[in-house]
Amino acid sequence: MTLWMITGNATADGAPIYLQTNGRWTRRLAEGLAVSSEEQRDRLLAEAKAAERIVCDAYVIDVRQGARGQLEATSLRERIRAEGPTLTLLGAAPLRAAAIA
Amino acid sequence: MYRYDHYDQTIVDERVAQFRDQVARRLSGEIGEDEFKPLRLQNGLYMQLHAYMLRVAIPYGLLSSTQLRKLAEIARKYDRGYGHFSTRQNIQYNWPRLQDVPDILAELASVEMHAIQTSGNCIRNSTSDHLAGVARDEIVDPRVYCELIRQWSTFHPEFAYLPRKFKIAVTGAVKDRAAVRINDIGVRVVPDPEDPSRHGFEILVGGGLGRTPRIAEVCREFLPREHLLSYLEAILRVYNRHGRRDNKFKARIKILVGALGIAKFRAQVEAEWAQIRDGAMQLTDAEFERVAGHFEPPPYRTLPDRDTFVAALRLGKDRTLGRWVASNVIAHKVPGYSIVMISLKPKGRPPGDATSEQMELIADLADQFGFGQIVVTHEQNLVLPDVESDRLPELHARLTAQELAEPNIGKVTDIIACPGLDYCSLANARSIPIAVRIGQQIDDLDYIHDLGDLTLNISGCINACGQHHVGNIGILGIDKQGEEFYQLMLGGSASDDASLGKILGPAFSSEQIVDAVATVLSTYVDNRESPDEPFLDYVRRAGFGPFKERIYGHA
Repeated sequence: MTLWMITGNATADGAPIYLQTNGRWTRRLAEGLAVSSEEQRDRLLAEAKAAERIVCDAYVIDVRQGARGQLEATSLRERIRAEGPTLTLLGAAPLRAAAIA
Repeated sequence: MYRYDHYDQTIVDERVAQFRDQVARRLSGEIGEDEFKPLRLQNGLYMQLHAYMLRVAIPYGLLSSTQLRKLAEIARKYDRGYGHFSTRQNIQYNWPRLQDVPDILAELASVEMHAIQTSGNCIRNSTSDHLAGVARDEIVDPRVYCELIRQWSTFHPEFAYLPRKFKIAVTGAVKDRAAVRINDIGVRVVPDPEDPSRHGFEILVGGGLGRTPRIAEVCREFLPREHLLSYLEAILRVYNRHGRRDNKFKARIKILVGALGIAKFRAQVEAEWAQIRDGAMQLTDAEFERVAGHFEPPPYRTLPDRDTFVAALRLGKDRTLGRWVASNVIAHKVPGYSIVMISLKPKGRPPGDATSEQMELIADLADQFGFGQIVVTHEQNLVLPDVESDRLPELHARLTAQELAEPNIGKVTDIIACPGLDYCSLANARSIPIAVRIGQQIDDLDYIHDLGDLTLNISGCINACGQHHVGNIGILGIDKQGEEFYQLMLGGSASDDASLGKILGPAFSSEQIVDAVATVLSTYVDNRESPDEPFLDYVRRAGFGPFKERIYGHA
């Protein structure tokens, strides 16, 4: 069964965000809403595209249940996007948290 | 260096105010992303995988120490404490928040900097020889012409919506260190054939990499210097008129030049130029002198020649210092001075990245050991152009303390790499981790120096931001059914003998690619005629057979 999730980049800081229920967004893919219905996927995507004050260029990604049952992106690109660069960043300063919704 | 006049400052300040209003309207929801995207791109603001990315223009790579300190401050205050120097001699911040970008631009404007025309289908930052003004083989300082091009191209109303982005590079030396043959237009200073005491330009056109790599061809063998801007305008007009706008992958000028053929393209340019050559764009001596006045040599001291001293350092008992002098110090045109290259490719670090602390140290060193200037190279390193040779050991010690004395300029670990899939929304594969692993595996400095000068370029996709086609060794990341694979190319060059590398054979997995590079290197070492035969010469002489034999088991 194919699972999908709606994602985009937060308008405030460009961070990847994932649609939850009730139009809320999270920065953690594992907390996003996975859907298996094409009708629900398309409806959520339309709603997300309408929320462009919060999110830029919403789109659909494939997700799956990981080895420990958690949701994870199917593609490498989306896994890197969800988890951050795979290298040690030079600067030690953490990114400041920013409200996204 | 060039200093803003009232008009420059007003333009930049007004642009900051304009973008501040645009950002406010985006954040309030008054305008959506479709409307905002072209506005942010005109201010160098991209959206990448994890965040916005702001690209700041560094015209022809030249920075004052004040400007570099400001870049360091911005990295610390608004980003994650580092910046990434790019192959167009610019700097990129990978983590800015949208609401902070107007403040960042205001801070940049306070030191005569901006992000205008660092994105979009316009004329981008002209690049140049990183040894401009100090190279021994220089005919004339190319930065004067780069600055004239900057002033001509900034907000040029006719060229704000070209078919595609447009890149110009200028070199004023005998040796091409500016990779002019892989730019849309390459400008080479050459002596006037009728009066060798004067100079003009050879104009090359149609170079570029990406999915259709092409080496530029000569459009005009000799252009008198007073006609530079009108001739560039004529080229841009032909491109703007006939360049394809229906397919972004066929929109660069190289495609037009290839489709028409250089003879037809040249004829159109010459016809266009005939109409405008003697107009307002003609470069007068007064205008040249006005701009050239900003690039007068600094007040060098009268010093004895110290070439012998530098040679002694190179061969001295202190091998750490000796290796650094051998690879990172270049002879200066003024006796007693040296040019120092600062490698931003230490082992285990992303190529081209520098922390705020490193930038601040380099700014201090530029003041203490030079005349307050720093140059960004298109190979993603930095240059201190005016160091008294006697002070090289002292400078080396200061750089070493901040991991800035890696002795690998021009060597195999001086890798050019694009951001790749770790940052870039277009990439298919990671570049930086491959560069890091190559640096970790090939870490014997004696071996690295024995390999001699050798370029290694890595791109994470066919767009070729890492310029893999022109690396002596090129690596291209590709996606094969969801997995990263890497094609290995050999034989590329971006210099006077520009050539495009060719694919060696089947691609390698991410686990295999570093060993494959190591095998390429050992094949060269085992088979070269002598240690004096450079890697590129060996590849051109021997072909791919010896490499294929070792790597694939058959030639």
